Amino acid sequence: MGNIVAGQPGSVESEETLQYLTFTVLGELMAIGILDVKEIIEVGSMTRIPMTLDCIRGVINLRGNVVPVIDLRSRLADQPSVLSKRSCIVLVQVKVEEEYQTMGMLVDMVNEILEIPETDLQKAPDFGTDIDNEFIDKMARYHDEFIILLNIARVFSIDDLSATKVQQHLALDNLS
Amino acid sequence: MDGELKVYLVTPFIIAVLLGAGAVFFDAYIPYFAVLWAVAGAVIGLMFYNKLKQISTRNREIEIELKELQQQSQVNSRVEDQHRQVWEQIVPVWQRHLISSRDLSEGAINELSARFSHLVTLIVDTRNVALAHQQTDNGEGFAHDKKMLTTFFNRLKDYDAATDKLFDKIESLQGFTNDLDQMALAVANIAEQTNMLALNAAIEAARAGDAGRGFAVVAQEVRELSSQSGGTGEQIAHKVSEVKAVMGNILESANKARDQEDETLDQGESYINEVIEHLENLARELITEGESLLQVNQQIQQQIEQVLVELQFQDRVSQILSQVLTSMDSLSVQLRQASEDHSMTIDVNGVLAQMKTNYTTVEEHRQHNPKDTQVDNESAAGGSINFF
Repeated sequence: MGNIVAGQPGSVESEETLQYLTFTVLGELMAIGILDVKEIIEVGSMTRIPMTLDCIRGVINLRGNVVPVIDLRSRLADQPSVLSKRSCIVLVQVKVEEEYQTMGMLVDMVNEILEIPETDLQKAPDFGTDIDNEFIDKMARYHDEFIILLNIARVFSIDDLSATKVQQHLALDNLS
Repeated sequence: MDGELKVYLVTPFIIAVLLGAGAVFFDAYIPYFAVLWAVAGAVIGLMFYNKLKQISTRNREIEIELKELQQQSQVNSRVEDQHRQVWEQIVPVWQRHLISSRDLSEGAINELSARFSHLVTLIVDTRNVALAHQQTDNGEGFAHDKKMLTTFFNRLKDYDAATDKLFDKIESLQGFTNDLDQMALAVANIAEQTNMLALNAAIEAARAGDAGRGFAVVAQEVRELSSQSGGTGEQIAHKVSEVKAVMGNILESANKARDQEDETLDQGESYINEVIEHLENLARELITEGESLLQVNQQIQQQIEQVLVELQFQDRVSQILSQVLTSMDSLSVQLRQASEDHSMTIDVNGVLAQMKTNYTTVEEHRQHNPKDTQVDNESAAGGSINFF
């Protein structure tokens, strides 16, 4: 398992068909490589952590381990998620400082596992999408629609997430 | 006349004797006495002469009278003959008329009596029938009708209770639909969880690499199953919601129907009571009317019976007529005998007496001698005469 680095799903077995887990956020169909996914769980009780950024929804207790959960909607579009019956937490393995750490990702709905050949993957366009270009790794064409392949490493960037609200405010103050 | 003649004879004799005696006793006065005697003789002779004259005129008068009488007796005998002829010829005609009129009136009145008695029997029959009806119908029929109606009504109430039970059961079904809803929800949840499980299984299979390929297929199948069961759960939920809607409608209309039924039953009860009351009043009126009719009927019967009694006057009339006929007969016989034997006289009083002995009715006595009130009193004292 350790041989696979997040954010580079096709690096080991190029020219092959890879499996992707698709999910929906903000009505957009998104996907991540299935090997990055550790588990999918339902939304249970979540503990909010004070003074953290809005995109950090809180922490959950996963079999005794504390797992932080990122609100993907908030992270990508700065809109807090509204929990529904279909809301799920996708647990992913993220490499943080040479160490794999499990992180949770709150999505609106998990769809399915698709097999997309490498040839159908394209570079992300410079503009034309609803979300920040830096979060997009690639665009996959599946039948007649496009699926955004998320850049997990960017989404779970420690530098971004470890900032506290105070720091954020300070930074904003400094800017002004 | 004889007495007068005696006076005429005795008076001169006495005078002669007296004068003779005077001449004997008084010799000196004989010449006077002789003169007196001669005067007396002359006076008496004159008187005799006058008397004889009177007698002869009287004889003549008597002869004339006798002639007149003879003439009258001839006239009388003619009249008598006429009377006799009247009796012999006209009276029998009268008698026949009387007999025929008696027979006619008797027949007619007997006929009338028969009709009236038939009427009486008819009236009595009618009354008996009416009484019988009244006895059987008197309230009993209505009580029976009322009982039947009440039974019918109670059955309706039972039916109402049964439908109420049905409605209650339908209502309890609604609880079941809620359970079904829950179950559909559970199915959906299970499908969701299965889906997630399948996804996780697929992820694990992918991690296992080639070794997990078979498992990935299984996971895929499970996922499809989960989506199917999710679809089924949705269908169930959909159907359950439809059933619930229908059930709600049914319950609503059932409640409406129940309310209506209750109202209708209440109304029906009051209607039935009203109708029965109305009918009972009508029946009571009919019964009273019937009773008054029966009374009138009875009065009519009594009147007709009275008429029947009064129709028995025919008996009296026929008795009176018979009496008159027999009297006429006997009078005719006597007249015939009298005409044959002129020495015989008709005993009118005898005939009247005989008539009186044959009288049987008060009227005969009364009419026999209208002025004699005693007869009335006697017969009145004799008490009432019973006709039959």
